Amino acid sequence: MKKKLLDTMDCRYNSLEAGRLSTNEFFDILLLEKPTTNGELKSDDNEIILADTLKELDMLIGLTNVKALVKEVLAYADMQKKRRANGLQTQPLAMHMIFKGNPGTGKTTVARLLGKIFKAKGLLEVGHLLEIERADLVGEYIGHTAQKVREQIKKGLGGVIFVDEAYSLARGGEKDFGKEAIDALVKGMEDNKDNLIIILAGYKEEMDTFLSINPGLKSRFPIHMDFDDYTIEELVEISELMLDLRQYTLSMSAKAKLYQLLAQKRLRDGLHSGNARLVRNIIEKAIRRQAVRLSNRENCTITDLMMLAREDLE
Amino acid sequence: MKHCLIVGKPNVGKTSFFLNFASYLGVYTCKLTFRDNRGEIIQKEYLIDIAKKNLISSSPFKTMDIIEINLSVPVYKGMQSFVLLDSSGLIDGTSDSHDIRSSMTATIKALQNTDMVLHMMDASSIFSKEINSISLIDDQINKYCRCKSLYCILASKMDKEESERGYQLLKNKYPTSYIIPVSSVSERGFKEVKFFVGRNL
Repeated sequence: MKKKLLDTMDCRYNSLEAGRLSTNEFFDILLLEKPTTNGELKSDDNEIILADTLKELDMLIGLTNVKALVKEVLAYADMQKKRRANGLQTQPLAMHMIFKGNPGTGKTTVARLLGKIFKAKGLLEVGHLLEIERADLVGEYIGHTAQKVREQIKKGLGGVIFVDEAYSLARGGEKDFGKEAIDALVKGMEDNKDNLIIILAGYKEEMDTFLSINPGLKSRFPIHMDFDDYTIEELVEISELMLDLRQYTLSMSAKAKLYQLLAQKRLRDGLHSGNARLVRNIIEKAIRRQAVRLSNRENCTITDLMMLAREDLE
Repeated sequence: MKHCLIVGKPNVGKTSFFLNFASYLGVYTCKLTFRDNRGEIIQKEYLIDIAKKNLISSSPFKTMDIIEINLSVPVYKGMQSFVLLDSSGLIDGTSDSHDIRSSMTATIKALQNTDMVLHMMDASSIFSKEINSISLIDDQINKYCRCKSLYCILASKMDKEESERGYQLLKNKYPTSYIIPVSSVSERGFKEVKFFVGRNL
């Protein structure tokens, strides 16, 4: 592959020297061949990062609709590149999104991965994630809000701006500056369409009311993603994955206890039980309790060090 | 060792900057390596003043080879050496002369393999239509290098009257690139170039 590339390069040099190819044409070809990003990474590095990040995304439990969407976007980006190579018109795609879901369903995690994927694909320049909330956008006096929003957009340029609990922007009533913040945000994202992705995130019901109050918003955020609550089986799967990364295992009875704990919590706290975050908290607590349990023991085997027992879970 | 290439249209002052910058960095006798498109190498040693007399000319396409010189700049407390390359000018389209075409090919080859690019534009002739006024090829070099390697623009001939306006225009035209105004006569901007190179070695 590389050799072939060198051969065509040599061939081009020859035609340049013989006067069959002008310098401008030569540069046109060079510019077409390289990816459109301004990043310093070479395309090989980008591909490795892309593959890694996609793998990371695939490892997330559930979230089938999110994975499908990412595939769509990647295919679209490839198509655009091919179209450009053939001299057809290409258009930047508005990629602003709305994430609806309860806490702990993976909204922030997915946003962070999306940033990386889009950067590796050349759709974003930097690919970082800027997490902001109402307080970062809404100002204290008249005129302050627009300034604050502009500042945040400047910071997020080239990456993903993730507005958590976005519905709170419309909460304050008539005299609140939240509405001004929304207007400024919309203006900013229209101006920087091709180098910025804004994601509004929040609970499902609240986001739905928020969008119905601001009908203009819905059309400006073409991609809507629902993050469903995890089932208890999925949560246990997630916990096993987390434990795997930390090199721990669950004993059989501990696993049964975990089921019981999760079911209990969900019954008691309902939607706000915390989903994956709850699992992480339970596990981290169990790890700490296991450490206390083992600290009095003289000699521990590898299995002891790795195994979380029933009494560690609470 | 890192390579730092000077490119630009013909007659914008590439060789003049090349030699004056070398002498600014404290070189008295310069060992130059001339490399043509076929890869043939000739080495010559000059006193810097004689090199200036021989290699700089006011007519375009005086330099037909890639000229290399080893230089060193201060980095932190020590010195770091690098190779500065001077190239033949690039023009839009193609040329009637085979020699010019082949030297342009050599320049483009060097451009693709370099670590750092100093893109020189003549700030004094922007408003006229001469061979060294900025044109399509400058945009293309800018676009290509901006993404590929370390890159800055040198606005040359800043000692002339028109140049300040030309420099402002360049700043507007290439807002994302770092532009250093330089003059080989007054040594303006040499310090900034030295820092730019030193920072990126």
